[in-house]
Amino acid sequence: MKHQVGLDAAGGWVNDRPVAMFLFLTRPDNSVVGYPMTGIPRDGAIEFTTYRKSAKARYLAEDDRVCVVIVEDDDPASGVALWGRSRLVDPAGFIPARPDAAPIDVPDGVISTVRERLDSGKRLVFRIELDRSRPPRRVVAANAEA
Amino acid sequence: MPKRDIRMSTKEIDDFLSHCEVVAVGAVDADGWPTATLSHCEFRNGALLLRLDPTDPVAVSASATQQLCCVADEHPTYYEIRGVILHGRPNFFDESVHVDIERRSGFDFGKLKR
Repeated sequence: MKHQVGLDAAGGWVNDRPVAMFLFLTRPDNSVVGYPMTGIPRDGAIEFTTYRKSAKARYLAEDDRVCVVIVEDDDPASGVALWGRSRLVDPAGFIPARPDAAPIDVPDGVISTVRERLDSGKRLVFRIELDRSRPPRRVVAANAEA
Repeated sequence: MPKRDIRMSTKEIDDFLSHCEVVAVGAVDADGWPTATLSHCEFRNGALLLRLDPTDPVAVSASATQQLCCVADEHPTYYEIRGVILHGRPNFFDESVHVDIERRSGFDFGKLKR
């Protein structure tokens, strides 16, 4: 059976390997916006960083509800959709992706810059706690040729 | 030091979309939650066509709100990361959705090195 991007059958994380994901938010005008992101599963939640001044940080301050689509590494046409609420957490505890564990190999200089900007407060860490009333849903792109 | 401009031009976005096969499609549901799924896509002559089951909850929400957002990216290496975000209005035909693109943006980390 194929692995479901770090989730077991009950929707629990089976590892903390960073994931490529699409993050969808509801904006104050009730419209949707999505962003490609790297997420870091941790203790059953997902963490990501962004700039304090970014649009997504402003939107999350207004509405903490998110939907995340995590795509299979070896099959970009399938993945899982997760719902949850985001909150700011102390960046001191944020552990960046290990170079050999991330979806892409992030240069050391970039990791250092992210750490500096977290320490200076320019970047924030958001933690998404999965919403148990909205269980994960497997999502598969229907074959266009079907 | 001035911030690098990594935005993609309209032509660069269209070129990206022309070889894109799958996008994440999002909408806002009746409770105000964002909701999303994956869809095969085809970009031709400036138009985006999605293959999305009309009974899919995302399709239902997009139809109700007449608004959706499509996101696609590629990341073979850090400096080859590119992503595109589209906002538009959906028009449903059976299991196809023609997206009237209203806004598009894209970024290319390769421009960080130029």
